[in-house]
Amino acid sequence: MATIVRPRRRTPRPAWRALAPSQAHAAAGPTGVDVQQSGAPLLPGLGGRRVLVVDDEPSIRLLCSVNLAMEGVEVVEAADGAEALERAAGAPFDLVLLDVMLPDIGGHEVARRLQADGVGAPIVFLSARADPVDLEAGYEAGGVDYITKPFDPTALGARLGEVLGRVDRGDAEAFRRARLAELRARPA
Amino acid sequence: MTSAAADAAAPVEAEPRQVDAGLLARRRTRLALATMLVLVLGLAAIAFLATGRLYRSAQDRYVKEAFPLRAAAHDLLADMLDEETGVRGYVITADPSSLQPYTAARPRAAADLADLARLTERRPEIRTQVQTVRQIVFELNGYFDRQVSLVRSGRAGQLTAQANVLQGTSRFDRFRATANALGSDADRIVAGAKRSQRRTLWSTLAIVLALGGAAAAIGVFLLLRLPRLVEGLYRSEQDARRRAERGDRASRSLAHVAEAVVLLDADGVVRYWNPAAERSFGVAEDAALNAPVTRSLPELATIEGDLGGRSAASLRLERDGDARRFAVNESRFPEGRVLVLRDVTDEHRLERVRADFVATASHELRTPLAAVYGAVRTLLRPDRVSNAELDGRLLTMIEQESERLRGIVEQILVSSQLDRGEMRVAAQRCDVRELGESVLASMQVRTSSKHTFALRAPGEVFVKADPERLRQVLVNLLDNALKYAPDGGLIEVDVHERGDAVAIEVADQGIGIPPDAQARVFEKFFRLDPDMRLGVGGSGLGLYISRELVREMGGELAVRSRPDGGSVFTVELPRA
Repeated sequence: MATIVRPRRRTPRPAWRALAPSQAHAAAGPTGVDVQQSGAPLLPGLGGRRVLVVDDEPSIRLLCSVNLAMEGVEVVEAADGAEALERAAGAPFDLVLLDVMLPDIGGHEVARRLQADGVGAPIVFLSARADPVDLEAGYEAGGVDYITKPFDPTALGARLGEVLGRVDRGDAEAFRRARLAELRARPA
Repeated sequence: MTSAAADAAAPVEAEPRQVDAGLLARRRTRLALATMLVLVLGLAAIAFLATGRLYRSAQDRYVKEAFPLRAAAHDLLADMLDEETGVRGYVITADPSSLQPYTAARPRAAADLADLARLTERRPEIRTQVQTVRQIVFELNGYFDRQVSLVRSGRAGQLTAQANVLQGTSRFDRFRATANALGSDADRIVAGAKRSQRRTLWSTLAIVLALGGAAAAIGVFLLLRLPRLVEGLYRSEQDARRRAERGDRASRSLAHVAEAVVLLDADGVVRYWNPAAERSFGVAEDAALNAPVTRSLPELATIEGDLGGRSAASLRLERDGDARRFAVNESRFPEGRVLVLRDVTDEHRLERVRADFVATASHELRTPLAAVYGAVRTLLRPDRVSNAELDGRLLTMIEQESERLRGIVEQILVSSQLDRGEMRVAAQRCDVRELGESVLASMQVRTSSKHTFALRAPGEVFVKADPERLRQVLVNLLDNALKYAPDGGLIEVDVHERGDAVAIEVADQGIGIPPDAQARVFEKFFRLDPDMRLGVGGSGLGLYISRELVREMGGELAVRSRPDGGSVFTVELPRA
């Protein structure tokens, strides 16, 4: 059984392909266990990682917090851009999950300011804006991944784990550039 | 019906008649040429006949002229013979009575000579002969006189005369020969004249025949060739006229179309520039014609590449600060191309508004959907440890966000109903203060602590309205107040009577509305922050629906605002 499954996982394909939302979604399956099993060799442990969740919708913040906490992640919440910048300046984070549409400062601007402030944490956008233009703008703003709403919060941990894996391996930037190039090359 | 049918049939009938005109021209030319040919042949025949008649009359004249001449010559000869006979008889007999023929013939001979002189007046060729004859006659008469005198002188004289007469015979013979020569000369002259006359006749006839034949040949040639030629000419002229008319009609049509139509030659030089082009691009026809199109429309160069492959491209033009968008359609043909530029600014604007609506509506739906879906996935997560408090929060979330989804869908439906004029509102007496309190209470529950609400109303205030719809309007206005006052602050609802009406003012301390946007906030799909830079979502339908509902209830919704000074929306409804 394992001999059948393993080679298939080794088939070479761009890293982001495996991570396309639909793929990640499918991989999560109805059990969710599958995610952890399949992702196990790729994912570093999420336990003890610090993630800043920025969203003006309390419900989205709650869903992220609850599900990430189950993976052992330490979650800090911020309801708008100003609060996000403040929290990020206060303590280091392993990852920032950032909404694009915030009531005060836009998500892209928050991302730029975070990078300008020297906050090295990788930024993953989480937005209801799902047009290719929006994705392109997100990657341009420095996001290393872009999750569109609605999303499966139970698969969020796996997705973020993969991002952290890329960051640890040092190919998060390459992934971002590849994704950006792909988006820019789309037909008008 | 019959007249309509006749009207419809008329142009159809006219068409073949027009087509036959060429043929008609050909027939007419043929007829004219045939007539001409007949006339030419007729003239030739007349000339022929005339020549013959002329000849005959000339011949008659010669005969008339020659006959008396010969007659006179013969008479003279006869008379001279008479004279000679009389003289000879007298010489032989010396009887005076025998001299009678001589005396009778002598005046006749003189008359004959006079006749000859008259008849040969215009005939110099025989005149000398006539003179010779006259000379001989004169000499003969002298001789005769002398013989008569000799006989009268006596017998001796008679004998001398007798000897002379015998000798004198030769003298007379000379006369006879000369007179005969004169007659035959006259005959010869007449015959010569006749011959030359006949030659003239034949040559004249030959010329007449040759000319007539040539004319007939030319006529036949023309008859064979000219009608076709004329028809061709006529047709080509008609075609040219029709083409010119068509061109005229075409340019008249193009002068009245709304689209800018520009004809370019192969070098990109403007050859036609219609009035719509003048209006659209602010360049007069005279300025645009015969100049490269890029001088009048420099922006065209930017889409030149697109035009080749695609049938239509979009061109953005800015004239006097007014940006307009044109759909450019290009048709190429060997001598150049035609550009048709249609002003699609309004369509483009509407399309963008629609696109914005789809984007915002989908965003508006995605956010609550994300919460519902996420909550359900979380509740169903198998490795989750059951937690009653968390379960409750998730279920509440599902309820609230589903409600939000329902609200958005409802808004879209209401707006669509309003559009179709299917919205029905029940007008009944309701207390605005009671309604306001209820709405504010429900708002307070789902709002952060940044905002505070206040309601001011002078006791019970009754209006004629549909309470559910009025609630919907107030919720919309309060939602907007919350959304556009992200920094929080006081949101006031002030109810007061204003004449026969009741005014409900909803005031916030938010970002306000720029003056140019104030008139447009009630437009369907209009959003103050279409790019959602402020993170303020919305379908762009809230205020549109609110105003339409208030109007359905016989009232009016208005706004006054200034940037950064907050906004005040006023609902005015009839008092009940």
